Amino acid sequence: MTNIVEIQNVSKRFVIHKEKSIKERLLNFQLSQTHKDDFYALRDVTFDIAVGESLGLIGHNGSGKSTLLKIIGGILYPTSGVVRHRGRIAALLELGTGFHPDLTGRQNIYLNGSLMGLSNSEIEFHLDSIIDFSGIEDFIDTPVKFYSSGMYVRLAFSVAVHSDPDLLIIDEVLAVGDQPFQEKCFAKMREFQRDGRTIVLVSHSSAQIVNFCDRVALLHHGELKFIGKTKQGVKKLDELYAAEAK
Amino acid sequence: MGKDSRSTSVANLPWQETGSRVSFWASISSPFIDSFAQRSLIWLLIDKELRARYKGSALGILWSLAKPITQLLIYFVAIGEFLGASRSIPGFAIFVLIGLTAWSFFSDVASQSSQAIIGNAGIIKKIHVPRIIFPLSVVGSSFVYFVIQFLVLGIAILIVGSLPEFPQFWLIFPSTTILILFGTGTAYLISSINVFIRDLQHLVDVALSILFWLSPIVYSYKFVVQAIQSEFLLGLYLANPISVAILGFQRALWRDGTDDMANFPDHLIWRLGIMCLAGAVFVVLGQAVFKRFERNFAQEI
Repeated sequence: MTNIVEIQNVSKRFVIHKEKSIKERLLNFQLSQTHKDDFYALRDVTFDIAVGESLGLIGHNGSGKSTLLKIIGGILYPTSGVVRHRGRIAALLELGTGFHPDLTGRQNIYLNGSLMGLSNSEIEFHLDSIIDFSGIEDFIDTPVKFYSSGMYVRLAFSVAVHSDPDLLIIDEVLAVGDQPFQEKCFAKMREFQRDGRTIVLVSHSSAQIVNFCDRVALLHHGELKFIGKTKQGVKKLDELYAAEAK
Repeated sequence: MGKDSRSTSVANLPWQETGSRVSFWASISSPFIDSFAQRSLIWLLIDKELRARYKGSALGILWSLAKPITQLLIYFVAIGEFLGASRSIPGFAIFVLIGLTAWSFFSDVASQSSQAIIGNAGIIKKIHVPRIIFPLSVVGSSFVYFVIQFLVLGIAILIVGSLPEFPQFWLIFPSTTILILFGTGTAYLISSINVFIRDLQHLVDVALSILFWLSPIVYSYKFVVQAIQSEFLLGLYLANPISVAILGFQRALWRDGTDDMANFPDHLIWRLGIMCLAGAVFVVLGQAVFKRFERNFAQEI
């Protein structure tokens, strides 16, 4: 089995600065160290992602899913531990995947495509099908600051899937799109599965995860609680939710 | 591409690591490798910057000349005529234009680079690109404006008809090198530190206006020598790389002033050479700081 991502003992600590006025800051100057709080978004997470698999990442809000995806994508650095990846990554992290608000949709396709590692001729080659897939032909020459969040995600997804990625990371963004578009996206992702591309999907919809993923990783308060069979993982998550509701 | 062929093609790709500590030498050389590998992206960002800044205006990039030309007129009238500096500085208009051209490159870089990382937060938080391209694109776009202003300066020199002499003319190259090196180092420092200490961008404005009057732009070096008796203070004055670069440009292009060697410090060529070396060290230092802070950009902006 060839791995595309290897995550070894990854921890991520954030320092929370408590909101303080300048007066408070000055008065508590010596104490300022004690006014910082540490927060571990991830604790000692270790697992591998194999080429061609579709991994679902599940967990409650704030369990560290997005942080982990950002570390895999090379956007955040782990506090300790190492992440290795290879091949081209296309990541749809939250909303807005790196669009420039003042540029039009078309200009953003070029900017975004180049940032993802496409050459100019590749972008020109795919331009029509990117615009076509996004389904927002009428607004393609409008600055993206006027886009709705649905239009944003349509364009972002369309650029990402046309960038020929080896690893596609999708963080919950599809929830913004309407039903037909979501179906279109999943059809495209099925095609990616057949091509042997790797997909990491974050979703709060158990149905989507069960339908689509080969494996799931369950994060709970920054710790990897479970990795393995999809149905078992989703069941474990439900148990955790039930335990917390009590 | 089928399943198996993709698996083998991925298996042959090199691993990229995040999180591991890199060796000292790798941390010094990697920014150079990164920025060379990303040169097309840097061009794209420069192009975006140039297009975005004067987008929708009829005169477009010609607006970049508006500020230096107004400054030139103000200093020419107020300092040259009212204060009478033009009587002791021959060819005052060309003199001021030389200084302003060099100065506006540096001040452009310094003031824009505070936004280089913060202003691209949308990209930095979503896409993995070597962040070093952002300060470098600031230097690049400022350099484009510098070249335009330099052409205007060339035309002005042709019109006035006081053509520069050779071989002094070649001093424009070490002088430009100093500007670029110190500009790049400054861009690295300001863009990265400003992410964590936002006060820096305001401090930069203050520091720039001080530095402007500490550089021989609207007065010639001769005035400085007359005013400062102390050898030490004069040495301090010449420790400013921007001053040395400007003096180099003046030596190269200010034909009317080169008759009087009191307008220039001794051993100017040596000073330029040493400043080039100091600039190279400064760039490496700036890169090291940038690399150190880069890890936390995405979570702080």
